[in-house]
Amino acid sequence: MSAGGLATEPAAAAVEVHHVSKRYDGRTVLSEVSFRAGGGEVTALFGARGSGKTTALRIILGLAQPDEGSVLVLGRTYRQLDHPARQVGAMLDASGFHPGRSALDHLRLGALQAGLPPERVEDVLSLAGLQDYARVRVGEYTRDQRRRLGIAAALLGDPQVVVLDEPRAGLDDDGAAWLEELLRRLAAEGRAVLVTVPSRHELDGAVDHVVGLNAGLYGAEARSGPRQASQQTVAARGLPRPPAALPDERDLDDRLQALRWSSPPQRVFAVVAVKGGVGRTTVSLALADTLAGQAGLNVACLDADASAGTLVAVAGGWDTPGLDALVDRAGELDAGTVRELALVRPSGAHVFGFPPGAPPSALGTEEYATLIDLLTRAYDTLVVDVAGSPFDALGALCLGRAHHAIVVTSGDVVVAATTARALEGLDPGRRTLVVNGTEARVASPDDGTGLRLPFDPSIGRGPWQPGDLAGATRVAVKRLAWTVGEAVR
Amino acid sequence: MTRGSLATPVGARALVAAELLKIRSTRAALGLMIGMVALALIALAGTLAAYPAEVRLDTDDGIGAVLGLAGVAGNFSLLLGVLSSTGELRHGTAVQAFLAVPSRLPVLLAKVAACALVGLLFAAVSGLICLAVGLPWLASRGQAVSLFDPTVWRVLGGAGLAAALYGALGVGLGSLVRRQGWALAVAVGWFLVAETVLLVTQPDLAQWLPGGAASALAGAGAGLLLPAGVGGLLLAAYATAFVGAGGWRLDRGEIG
Repeated sequence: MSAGGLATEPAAAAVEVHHVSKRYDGRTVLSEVSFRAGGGEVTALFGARGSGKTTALRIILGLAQPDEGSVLVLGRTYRQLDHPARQVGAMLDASGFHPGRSALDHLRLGALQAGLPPERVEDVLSLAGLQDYARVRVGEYTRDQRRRLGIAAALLGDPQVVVLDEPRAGLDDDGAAWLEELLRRLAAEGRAVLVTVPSRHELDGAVDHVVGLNAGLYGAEARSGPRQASQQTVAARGLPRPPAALPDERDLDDRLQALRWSSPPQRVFAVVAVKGGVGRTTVSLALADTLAGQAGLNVACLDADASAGTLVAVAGGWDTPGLDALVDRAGELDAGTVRELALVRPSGAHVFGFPPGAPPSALGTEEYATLIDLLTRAYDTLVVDVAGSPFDALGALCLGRAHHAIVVTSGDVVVAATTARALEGLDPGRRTLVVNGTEARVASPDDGTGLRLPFDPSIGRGPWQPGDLAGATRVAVKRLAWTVGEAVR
Repeated sequence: MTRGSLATPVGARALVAAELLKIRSTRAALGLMIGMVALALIALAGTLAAYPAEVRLDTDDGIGAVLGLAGVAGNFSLLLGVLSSTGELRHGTAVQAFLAVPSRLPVLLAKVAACALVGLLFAAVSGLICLAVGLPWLASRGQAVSLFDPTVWRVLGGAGLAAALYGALGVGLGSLVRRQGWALAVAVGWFLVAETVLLVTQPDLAQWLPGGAASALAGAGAGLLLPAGVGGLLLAAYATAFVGAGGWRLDRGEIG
């Protein structure tokens, strides 16, 4: 950052988070989270809203205490730092301003409190491109300007460690390009840069490492970004919330609508079953229809079966380009184009699969990973209809990418036993069991999180619409949608 | 610029200067000042109308009744303290302060000092208004009071001290309650309304409460309230208790 001059001290292992757990009101927000951010690198903490990203940053910055585990910044706890404002610069969110105060005064305050020379204010105002707006009250700022101001304030002390909470949020395209360049420059100067991002591909052009927080049912994920820095070992896992109590049927419609405002972006639901014919595809479509039609969410449903074409057949569409075409063009498709290629349901849900009768395809797990990434960029909610076994590679991939699993089973004793085995591998707070069929027997593996879904035999025989569902089934699907929506909130 | 020479240790003076800049750089303090001036004028008009010409007001009690109205500054100083501390949490600006000074208590004490200073300023303005209106009015009744009468300055000094202590108390209250709406409700509902009612209906009890102590300090309610010095000590004890409790909560609470 030349606004303050070059950094000369590399900040190796600048931030070290060891087995940190944090609970609020009995709800686990972070569990056994461990990761590190080194000097000269941009590390991104990725997770959906509510996955604990900001909580992790607050713990790193000494604003909250972990229930378990420890955090070291430059080898010490934050409170032990000799001169925290010079060693660490942070922006937690864009609301850290008094709306009636000018940007100039906000930065002057920061400099005064940190014992920094007043000329730093001009430096960072210039860095953020806000010189001409310095005397404007922050309440009149655009979101882009507020975000720039937050970043400017974080850099006041020319810090060795830079911590930014969702710095991309609110920036326009120019701002995003500015941010990526700034992050790269900060890292090139030897600083450790830790940012949070709501989607794993955000700030792709600047990030060296992504640490998955609450990234999927199977937890941790690490990857190196386009800058191809060295890999690091990461163990980060977000944790479940207990299953919510079912609302009264009369409240379901209102609660579903409320999901629209309370749900985080980039939810992935995996619908799995240990045996065909128990209504998995029906549940997938009904769930997508309900989340789109009732909750107003931006939903896609993906057929994770390389050859069957069942989902598209049941959904009633015939002109989808097919998943292999999507994979081939994944690199060139933006979100808008992806949405144009979908089969659109009357509910507003979009469907992606193979046209019925299409020749078998050779899509593997890598291709499906590409598809899931592509669709999570274009939709805020993705329902993956996982054909085949939850125990095979494709099933594991889909479950690993999902924030919540819906396990569909019948009341059959043999199916129930296999389902119980599948359930054992899934986090209890992040799965919902759907027992399909009115004749479910006692042996069904309903562990209290299950929903009874009266099976409608007419479903699955051809194209159907949400209105085709029998009343009790429709209510059960609404309950399912609300339950899983609440679970990932 | 090199990192080694960038920063200097943060002293108490810099923190108080930062807190004063916070107060100066928004409109809240100005709004409170305008409200205080308006209320002081209304209170003066009410007092002037309430005393018939034959009542002697050039006595110590009379001077306390007229110039003690400068104590209205305490009400606004209390609100300033509450707004100042809860506003930091409401707008998230506390994060900036506590990242720079993680131990938190110095920041709180700087805010206490700043609000006490602004409380003194409020009292100076309200005192000037009382002098500018009250002394000519008393003279017009043939009850002239000299500007150099020691009672005048004892009353105005007491009002100033009460306003400063109320500012500190407000910061403590805000840090303790944290939520701005609730803290303002307590400040207005209890300190400003309920205690005023109690002063009239239950003076034996009210004299031991912050409002009674502040009134005693400002020379009001002679014979009904504690001596001014005792009132001042009592109000200082309340302010210390609230700041202590607020500091305790702030140090243990989570920010952001």
